[in-house]
Amino acid sequence: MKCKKFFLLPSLIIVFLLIASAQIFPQGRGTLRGVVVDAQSGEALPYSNVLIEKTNLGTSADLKGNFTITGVPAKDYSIRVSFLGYETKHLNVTIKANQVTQITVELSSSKVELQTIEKIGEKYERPNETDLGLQKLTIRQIEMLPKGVETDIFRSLQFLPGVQTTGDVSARYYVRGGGSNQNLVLLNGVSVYNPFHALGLFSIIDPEMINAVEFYKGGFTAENGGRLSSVLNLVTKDGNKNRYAANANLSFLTGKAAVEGPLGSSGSFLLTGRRTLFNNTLKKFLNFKDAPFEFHDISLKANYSSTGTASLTKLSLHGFNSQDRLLNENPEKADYRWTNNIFGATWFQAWEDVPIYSETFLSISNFEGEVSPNLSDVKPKKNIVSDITFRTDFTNIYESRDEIKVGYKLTSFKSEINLENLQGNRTSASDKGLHFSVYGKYRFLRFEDFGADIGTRINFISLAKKSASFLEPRINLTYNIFPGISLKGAWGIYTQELITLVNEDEIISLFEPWLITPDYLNASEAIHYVGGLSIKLFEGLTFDTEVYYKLLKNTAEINDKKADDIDRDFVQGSGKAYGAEFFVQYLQPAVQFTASYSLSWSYKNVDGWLSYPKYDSRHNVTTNLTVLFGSGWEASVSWFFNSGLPFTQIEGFYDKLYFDDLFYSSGLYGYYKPFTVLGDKNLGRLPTYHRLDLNVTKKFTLFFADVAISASVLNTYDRKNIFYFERDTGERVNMLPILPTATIRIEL
Amino acid sequence: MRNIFIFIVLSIVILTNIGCEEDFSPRTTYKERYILNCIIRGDTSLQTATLAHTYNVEGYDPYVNTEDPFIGGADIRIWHKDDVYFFHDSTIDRTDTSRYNAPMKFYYNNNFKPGTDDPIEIRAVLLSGKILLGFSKLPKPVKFDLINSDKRIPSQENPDFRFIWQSNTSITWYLARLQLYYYKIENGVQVRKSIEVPAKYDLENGVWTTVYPKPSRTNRALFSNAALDYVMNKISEGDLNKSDYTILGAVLELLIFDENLSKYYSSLNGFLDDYTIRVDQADYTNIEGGFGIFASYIKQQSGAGVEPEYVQSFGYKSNIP
Repeated sequence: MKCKKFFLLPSLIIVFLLIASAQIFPQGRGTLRGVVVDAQSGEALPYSNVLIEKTNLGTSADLKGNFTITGVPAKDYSIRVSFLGYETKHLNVTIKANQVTQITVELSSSKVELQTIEKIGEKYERPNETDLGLQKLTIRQIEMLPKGVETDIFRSLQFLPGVQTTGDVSARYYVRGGGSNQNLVLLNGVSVYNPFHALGLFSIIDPEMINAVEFYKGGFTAENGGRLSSVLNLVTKDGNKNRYAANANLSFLTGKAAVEGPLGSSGSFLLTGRRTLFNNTLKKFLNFKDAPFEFHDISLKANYSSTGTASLTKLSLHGFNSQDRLLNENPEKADYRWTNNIFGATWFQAWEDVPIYSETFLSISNFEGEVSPNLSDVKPKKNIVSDITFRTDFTNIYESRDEIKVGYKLTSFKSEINLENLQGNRTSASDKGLHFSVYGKYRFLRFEDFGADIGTRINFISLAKKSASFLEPRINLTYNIFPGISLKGAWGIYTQELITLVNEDEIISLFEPWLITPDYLNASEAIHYVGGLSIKLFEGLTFDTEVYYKLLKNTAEINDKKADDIDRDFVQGSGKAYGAEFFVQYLQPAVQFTASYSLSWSYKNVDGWLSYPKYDSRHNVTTNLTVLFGSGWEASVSWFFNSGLPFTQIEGFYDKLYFDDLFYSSGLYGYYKPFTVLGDKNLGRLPTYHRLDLNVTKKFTLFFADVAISASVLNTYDRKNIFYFERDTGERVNMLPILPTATIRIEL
Repeated sequence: MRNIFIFIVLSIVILTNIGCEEDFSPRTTYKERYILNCIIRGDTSLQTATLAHTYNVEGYDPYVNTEDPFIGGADIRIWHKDDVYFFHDSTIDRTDTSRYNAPMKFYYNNNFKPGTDDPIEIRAVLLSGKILLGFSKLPKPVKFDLINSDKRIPSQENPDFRFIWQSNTSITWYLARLQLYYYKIENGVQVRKSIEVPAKYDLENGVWTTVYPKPSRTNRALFSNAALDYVMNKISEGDLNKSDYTILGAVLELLIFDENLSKYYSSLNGFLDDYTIRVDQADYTNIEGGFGIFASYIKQQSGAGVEPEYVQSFGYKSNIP
């Protein structure tokens, strides 16, 4: 742990900025503030659009449904609020001078499906929005994608340009040339350290509990820190505030259920649970290897909110548990288990009569993974991670529409790791430390055609002894050069002090053991340069392109040459990645089409050797077409194409000397067995990958229940996509074969 | 209708084709490389080495290669202090001729016995001029922990006979062997014999199985009492004249690997769990210019008596009064 010396000055600056931000309303203007919710359930509707009619004032709600429009001249208005799949609502509000008008807008779900699509075209987007690298997804959008065995948010990310996987058997993802451990996953603001079930085949995040997803592929702004590559921010539903409800889902893998309902007059709860029922499906993912994993996840969230005429307060408590187990009765086989436990408390406050939001988090995130060898030769492995975080964010929106956001984050982190590498060399470390950082950023949104988000994180106390940058400055700019055409740019420095001890050559691994960057390494650092062009050609058709260059410094790479317990586990590496991404979206009534293409390069430099990482793919294409036919029928088709991933080629063989007993084999030592001589690392390329997925869903009402039945076919034309090949036998191991699946959902 | 039919047929043909397995070879250009193996023994002056080249095969199964990769005719020398030791070409019959029929080519020197902690260097010059180099140092002897080790068989305090020593380094691997020595009267003549004691003698899957010590980094060797009983019974198995046997005692022999041999052995014995998939395998070598190993080990030993009562319980004689 390292404490920076200049603690005082930046703190004073932050405090000053906060005080200076205290709002004085200009003469004759007020603020409209509110939250948009579902009329039936009271659930927040993220990213909904709010427009003050007959003005150019408007905004879109954040991922929790909150919105604020400042600088509104005091008088009566009609506002229009819309959201994907909901009937647009017009309502009258009175804006009073020097006051905040707090409203709650309830939208009713659209009865006519075709209108659902029409609403997309109404999306209000500020031309100066500083959102480069940010993808916003609602759970409704995710559900429209082919489900596979079942809906998985992490797998849905693969549709986004710049997101790469090493195959369809894994939900792990790699963003713009960064490692999988460089992705921050936040569940209600709480870090999740191993968010995967069953060797990474599925995420532990049950989409049933999720309300909104924000995904930053790079160039993310100052409020997010701690990882080099991406941030996935998942916000759960609050639960139905108006009535008790339940639903159940059944797929070829799991069964799951959710119960929700009101808590008193101003609260709600949501309890979701999921567990494996038919784990034979996992065999399809693991080359038909017996994999009797049992897993479950449970989430409980309870909320209490209080809305005044000019204020809103909300307390949320969230608990989450996931567990995977593979226990053998045979003592000659190893047992495997890993568990995530998460608890978070959030206090949200929209302050009375001033356009200030604050949000305070207290969270605990624990991960524990263990491999118990029993009497087998499997190497033992154990990792315990404990993260306690206290965080507060303040946001103040000026009358000019500029925003200032400041906050701090205090984390106590503890990790314990005990494992043996393949050669039986042990790694045993126990470490703990504090991290304290402050951030501040200013968003210039006062100009209609120009937006800027400028800020920095300041790392006062670091977990790593050799910490990275004290300052992590970030800039995100948008310039609307013509109506509908915006130029965007972002730059930032990012640091990461927590690393994982995973061999990149493992394309399937049990779990990623986390630890604090050891004292002999510098903490990792990245610099992102991102440029973008966003074109809205005409209503419903948008085109986005982004180019990026990412430099990775001081990355922690596993030491392949560790041959002793006291040898270091890591060596310092570096890397770079660059590329271009293109995304087209065409939205029309009843038809939604998206297509993306990315061209990318990524490199790693370890011990002076430059190589492609396992996830480097030059060309990626994803397309999705969704059609709503009416009468509850919808269908989608998706096609993926990736150029070949790197692999290390075989150069030849040699007869390697083995021995067990030098007493008896001392003449010529032992016996000789063939051993593969590998070529230069990752210089070869596997064949191209492509896959077509189909999905058909029928929704209908059966007595008092809403029912949705989905049938999907993964890899429809049974493409033999290679996953890897066995070195010893040359056997080709393919990824998923053609896989028909179905899910049924019943909602009461 | 006809157009729809043609479209469907065409779609099926196209999809079936693109669904096919794409031809792909996981090979890169083959380059011949060389392998030098030489493990110096500290307890003898006869040292051996082997030299081989890599090979390539059609397909993926290296066992189809039947062309002997071992090489003769090279110039192999060892430098020790200011002396040079030359290795001579020779061949030895193979015990396993499933792949290669011809005798195995190897090199030897029968006049080289370095002292412990001495640096040694090996240099092999192939006929092509290719040079392979290796460096090693004989390990230091360990100090036996005679206070905590058992001095008599069977142990009076423990469920096994244990022998403990002080580790040189945390990386050092050891291989222990417990030899039981005895006399047997054969045709009126007393013949000295020995038998190795397994570390364990356990019932596994309904079958009594012996497990002999393997190289390990632990600084102790354990031999279960069941294993001792097994050996004591084994020496006279089928012979009713138990009094023809005189138990002399036991000797614990310990091989101490040098750092290179320890790392090499360690790299040979990786074992992944059932689910992790690792595509590339690291290879340990300390040979500059090729693959293989240049390493060394030494041998130490210590004796232990066998309790007369224990010996007599099997009907044998003890040499301890």
